[in-house]
Amino acid sequence: MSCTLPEIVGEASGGSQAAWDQIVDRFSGLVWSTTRAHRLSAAEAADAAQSTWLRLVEHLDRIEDPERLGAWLATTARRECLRIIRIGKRELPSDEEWMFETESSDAIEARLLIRERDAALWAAFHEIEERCQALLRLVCAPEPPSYEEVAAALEMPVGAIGPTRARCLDKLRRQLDAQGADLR
Amino acid sequence: MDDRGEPDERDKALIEQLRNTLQADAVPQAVTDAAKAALGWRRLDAELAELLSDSALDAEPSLARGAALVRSVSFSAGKTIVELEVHHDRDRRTLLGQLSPAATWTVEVQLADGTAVEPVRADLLGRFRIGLERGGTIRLRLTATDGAVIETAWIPI
Repeated sequence: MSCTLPEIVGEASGGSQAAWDQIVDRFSGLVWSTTRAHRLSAAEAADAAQSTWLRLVEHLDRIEDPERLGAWLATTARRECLRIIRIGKRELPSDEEWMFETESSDAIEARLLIRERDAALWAAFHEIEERCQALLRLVCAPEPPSYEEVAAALEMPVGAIGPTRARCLDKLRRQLDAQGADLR
Repeated sequence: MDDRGEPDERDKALIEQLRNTLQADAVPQAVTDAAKAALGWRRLDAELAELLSDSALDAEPSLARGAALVRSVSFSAGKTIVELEVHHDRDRRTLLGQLSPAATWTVEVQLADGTAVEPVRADLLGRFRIGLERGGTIRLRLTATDGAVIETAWIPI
């Protein structure tokens, strides 16, 4: 099995499902966090993620710098999110779509209630400003993305990420204090 | 902490706790499955018609009174241009297309979820109209009478 990204991309371009699966497993957390950072509903986020992967399949044979694949995916996912947001603004959501959204966030909270500590952190997280939520979602993706990938996902200068992360974590801490939550 | 430095210990601990909590919003299995299946849409025999413009990607959507609410998208492959208007009627979508130069292409809509739609023939002026039951992520596959095949980039509609 190959290990470098250029080799994996080359094999996937030749049709290797195993190589493609490796790419998806490595970057699906980054793509998903990027879509969720843009405040899309679960269904819209799924569409944006799928469009992003389809676009990569479309361009597999013309990726110029495979080492920067993560940043390319993050940029593409951000663009797909903006496009879906624009399309959505022209349509009034049907009743079912609203219901779907409510149910899905309820389901997430229900799972969290298993652990009270998680619920407190979840609640505090949703109280801090959206820009901070977006950045922290990226920073906390299962396979931590590089600074370059986070910058691409949020269209933010690389140099701003460290200081912004520290400031956002402080805000999260203050919110937890305000709720009287004890994280230990 | 410097700009590109590691977070300090206290920040690291909070990041770790938040990472655990956000696991509740991890990538849904269906999304990962769809991503893996996407490789099946590799272009094998077709030329790619790249996205030329999409009004939904324009930097500043027009706010002028009476601005068209119709989404327009165009693609190009060599000298072939595909122009598309996407009309919404609740869940239904109607695609009005124009191929230039006009030629008798067969036009098939492919939906990323694998749903097939009956192909239609563009008329002598290169126009075509396709109705869809609902939106989704789609591309057009165009087949010329001489066997040439063009596939457009994927777009959500």
